[in-house]
Amino acid sequence: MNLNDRVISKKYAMAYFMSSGEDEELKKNNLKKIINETADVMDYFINPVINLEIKLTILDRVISSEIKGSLSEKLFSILISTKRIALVESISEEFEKIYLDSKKMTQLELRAKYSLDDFEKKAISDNFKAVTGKTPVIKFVQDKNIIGGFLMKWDDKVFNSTINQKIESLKDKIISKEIL
Amino acid sequence: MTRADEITQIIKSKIEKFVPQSDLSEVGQVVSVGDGVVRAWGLNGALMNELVVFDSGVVGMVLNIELEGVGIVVLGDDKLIKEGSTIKRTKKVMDVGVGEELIGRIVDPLGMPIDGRGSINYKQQRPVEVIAPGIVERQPVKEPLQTGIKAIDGMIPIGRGQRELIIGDRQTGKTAIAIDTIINQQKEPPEKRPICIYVAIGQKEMSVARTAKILEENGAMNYTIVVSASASEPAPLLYLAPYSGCAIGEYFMWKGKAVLVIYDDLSKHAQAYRQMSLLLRRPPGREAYPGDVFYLHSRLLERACKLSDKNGGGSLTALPIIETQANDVSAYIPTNVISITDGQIYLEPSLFYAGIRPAVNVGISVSRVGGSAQLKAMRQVAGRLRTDLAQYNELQAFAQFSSDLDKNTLDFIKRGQRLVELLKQDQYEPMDVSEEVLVLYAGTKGYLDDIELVKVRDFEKRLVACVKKNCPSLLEEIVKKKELNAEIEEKIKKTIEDFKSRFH
Repeated sequence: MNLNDRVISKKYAMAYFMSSGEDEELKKNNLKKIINETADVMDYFINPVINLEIKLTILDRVISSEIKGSLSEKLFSILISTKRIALVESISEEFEKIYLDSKKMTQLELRAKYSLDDFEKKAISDNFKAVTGKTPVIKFVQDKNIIGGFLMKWDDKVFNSTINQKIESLKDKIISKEIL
Repeated sequence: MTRADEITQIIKSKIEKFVPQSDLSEVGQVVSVGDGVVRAWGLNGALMNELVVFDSGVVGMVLNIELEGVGIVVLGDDKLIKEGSTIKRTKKVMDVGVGEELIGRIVDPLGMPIDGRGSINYKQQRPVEVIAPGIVERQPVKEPLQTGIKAIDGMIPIGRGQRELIIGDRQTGKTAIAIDTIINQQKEPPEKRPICIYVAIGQKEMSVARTAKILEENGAMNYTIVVSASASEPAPLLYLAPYSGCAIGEYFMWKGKAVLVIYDDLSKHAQAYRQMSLLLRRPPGREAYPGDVFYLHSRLLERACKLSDKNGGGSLTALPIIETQANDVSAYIPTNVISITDGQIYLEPSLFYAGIRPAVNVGISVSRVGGSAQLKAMRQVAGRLRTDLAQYNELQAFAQFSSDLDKNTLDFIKRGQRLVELLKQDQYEPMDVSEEVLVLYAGTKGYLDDIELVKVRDFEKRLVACVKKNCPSLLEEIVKKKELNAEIEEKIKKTIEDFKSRFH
């Protein structure tokens, strides 16, 4: 995805977040639901040859009744008519970030060789909150390349506390003759 | 315990004492890459000119900060970078290794040696981009920088700390003037000799190798550093080259030394910057150059200065070179650099092909601050040179009607022809300032007027050789006294008259 598409996605996500009538939680769930329900027909929506009327008819038929008339359906219709439906996944991701940010939360990717127990996760979560002021929504990824320790990714930051990084750091110090 | 065991023990204890730190870094992701330019997502805290590292180890420099991402120029092989690659901030701006160990070496703009003579162990780094010294830190230009070229030292004198542009079409002898100036610094006593830095921008590798060889053969590499970003290098390296050269020069300047930096040439530098700017999608202006192309050169040349005595009294003299197209000095980059510098030496193809070399057009060449730095003796002998030549140039159109002209006009033409002949000089043969004073004295005082035109250069050469052999104290006295008092002038007159009586 190019930089322009990311910028556009962010703008749509922000507009969707700020529109009134539904609470943020509902907007978030509805957007995810509509993406799931239309996954099989997404190619039709993206296809530039198919008529807009037909696309909107298909949309009306595939989505469940509880989403009908919701803001998410309106957003979907707009994206189809402006031929930007391909951006819907990225809009959803951006919406998620904006939503979490409004709740002083952030997505945190946690990588380690073995899964962490609850005590370890809580310790990481508490320390993270103390330092950044944000509550992490932890997504754990098992990474066999990590020798020991853990690695955290959030926003545009990476906290690397793995043994791999420490060995690299020792190697750099030896090469730059800071140690020997 | 053997010595080897002791060493092992020391290393072991040092490793044990090493406390590894966790690493918190800011990262971004490559969105697109091409033509040496990367557009990236993330890196929200990145600074202008900050260095970033791609996961392949290639280094880049942030040059555009946008609403949702950054524009980065790649300082290496962009083929190793892929869409989605991770980019890491280094929180460091671009810097280059500086120090005495660079003298005699050829390096690239990142300070890496390219002369095959091993690595350089830098003890100090300096940022490539720094703000030029302010008013308080400077003093006016007051010492001359001798180029060894009669036409320049006599009529367009350059002072230490000055910025003098060398401008002209291709193949008019611009680089030759710069190289002669470097070679001439050998004549300075070691404590006063400037460190010379030759920055080659966008030149053929062969040309740089040839220049380095000439400098080596003339013993000039003992005080010279060559910074080269050849035509095969990516545009960002060409863009960096003059700033790196200047940073290296500033190290010596702040140590109280005199430095001479030659930027050969800034036209190619501007072209490299234009390429980068267009790829970074900055709006193009006149001749497709970006809006800040003036600032590109002004911030570089403003770093040339003569520091106050309180700051060590060091100086950085800049000789930028600009190549014009078809004599057009009113093009965008030439006018910019002319307005930034303290004067220009204009080289004209017509003079070059007429055999007048160096092909300096004295009519439009000027030095705005060098006059006050010129040696008094030189000012005394060359004071009238410029006006005499200007009058000669006006009258030479009538030279073909010589039989119908009055005696005064004929005398003027005759004098002018001999002065033009006298100012001719071979390449790589810069002259000592005292020799220049001697021969210019002979020319301006009319001792050459009755010498046959074809014999003028022979007269000059033999006069200098004769004085060097029979009366070297006269040359020493000119340098020592720095001015021509009645006594020295009498000696010069006598010497020239004696020589002339024996010349045939």
